[in-house]
Amino acid sequence: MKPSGRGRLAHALILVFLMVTGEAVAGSSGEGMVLRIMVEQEVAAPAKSGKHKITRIPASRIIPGDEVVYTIHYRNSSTRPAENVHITIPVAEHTSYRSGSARGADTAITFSVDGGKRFATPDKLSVKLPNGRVRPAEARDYTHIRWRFNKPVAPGASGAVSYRAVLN
Amino acid sequence: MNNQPLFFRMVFFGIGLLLFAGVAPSALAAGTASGTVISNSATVSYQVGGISQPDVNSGPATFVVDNKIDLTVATTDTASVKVTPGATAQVLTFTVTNTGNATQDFILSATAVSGGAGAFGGTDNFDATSVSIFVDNTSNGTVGTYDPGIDTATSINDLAADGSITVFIVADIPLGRATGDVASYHLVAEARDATTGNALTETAGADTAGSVDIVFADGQGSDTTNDAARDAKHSSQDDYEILTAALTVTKSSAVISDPFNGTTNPKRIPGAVVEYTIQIDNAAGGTTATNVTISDDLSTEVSNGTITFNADSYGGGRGIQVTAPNINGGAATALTNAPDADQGDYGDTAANTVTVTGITLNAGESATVRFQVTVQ
Repeated sequence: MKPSGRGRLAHALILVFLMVTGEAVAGSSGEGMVLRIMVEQEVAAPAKSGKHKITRIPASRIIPGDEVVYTIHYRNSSTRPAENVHITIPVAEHTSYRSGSARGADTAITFSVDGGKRFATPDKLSVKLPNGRVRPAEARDYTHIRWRFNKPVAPGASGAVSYRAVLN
Repeated sequence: MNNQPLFFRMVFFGIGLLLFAGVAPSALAAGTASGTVISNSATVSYQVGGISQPDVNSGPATFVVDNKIDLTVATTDTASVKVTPGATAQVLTFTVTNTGNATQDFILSATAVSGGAGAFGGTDNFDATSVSIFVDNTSNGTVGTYDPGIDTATSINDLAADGSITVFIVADIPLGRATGDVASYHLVAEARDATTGNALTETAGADTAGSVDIVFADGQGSDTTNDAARDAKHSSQDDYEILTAALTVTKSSAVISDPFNGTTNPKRIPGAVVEYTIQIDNAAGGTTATNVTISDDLSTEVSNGTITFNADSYGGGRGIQVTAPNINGGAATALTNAPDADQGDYGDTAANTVTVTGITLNAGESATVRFQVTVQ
């Protein structure tokens, strides 16, 4: 179920529209699966114990080299199980996937290095070099991340998947 | 409202620019440009009862890239800059690199090291004078080299992210310093607001989402007194080191003959011929001395009648002999007493004085000047 090229263009236009109009609430509603995405940064705050406690705040003070955490919350708002669930997210422009950071309970996580055409586990991904040779893909090559749910999402059930990225 | 159509055209033009900016690839090693909006959204696909449902999108999560203030100051000199006492407009060379993610201005200052270690060894033990700082003019003169009168800016205006520019400390060297003396300087650069030139302040406290905050990301440079980590400053140290010639002159004499013993064990009696040898040594480890002039004034002895200068000691009207590496291949060379093309004269440059000019001595080399007198 890959979106067609035209479908993706439509998505992009919708995104631009949301940005231009200042639409701040990220999410969708209605019957079926509902997705909500957050981008956060981790900050160290002094704790009573004298140690620093890591807390997450909305990503705001980010300079090149900083890490952000993307969390995608999902919920099945319908009365029937959602089957064959896949959540897919691009690695945003100007960011690189942090190796090994994708999380998702009861999911199989795969990656794409070709703009989302083909997904595979990291050991099966390679990049073709200009000289025709092929090298194993690295985290910075990833263009998309996909979580394939091992089990249907029951009605009313919710959860989250996440990954970390570094601002280039 | 006649203005309305124009207004809408401007809005659409603005959106076009926004889209273009959003897809422009970032080639900056310094990182994604300040102000860039990073947007991302997830999509879920699923089936219900075996029937594919429409994909659901999360909508975007966005943040704005903040202004990273970072800079590197580094000297490009790979050893101390060797200078001679009294030299003017001597140059220490540095580069200032904007490693942040936005265009900034930079102000510059020089800190004289006071008694500390030099950047390239030795210990700082003097200060140069008339210390100035100039920024390389990249559209005039030789880029990367100090051009007096052309490189006149004293601060850096609008250095783009990843941009680098050469900066010179220019100073005069006082007289009276010895080889190995060191005058050491730090060049300190401080990032400033590119528009106003005002000092930058790191955004304190909580962030306002969607705004561009200022974050200092610089490390500490060489000037640990005036430059700390994360203060929008960086610094690098470079040295002037004195390299000069250290000349020593020794004079000796030997009796050549006397009227009674001839050349066999002659004694210093009236009528005896005595040869004076003046030796000039340039100490090893220094630099070349050029245009060395030796003069020996015999006025007192000649006027009180104790000696006379022998005008023909070395034959053919030549009373002076020089041995110097740069004259006649280093061979002993007889010079005429007259003022002419050769390097020596007697009584012309100064009365009753042996003068030899034009000697060049590299470090570790020696020259000798000889002449003979008759004891009265």
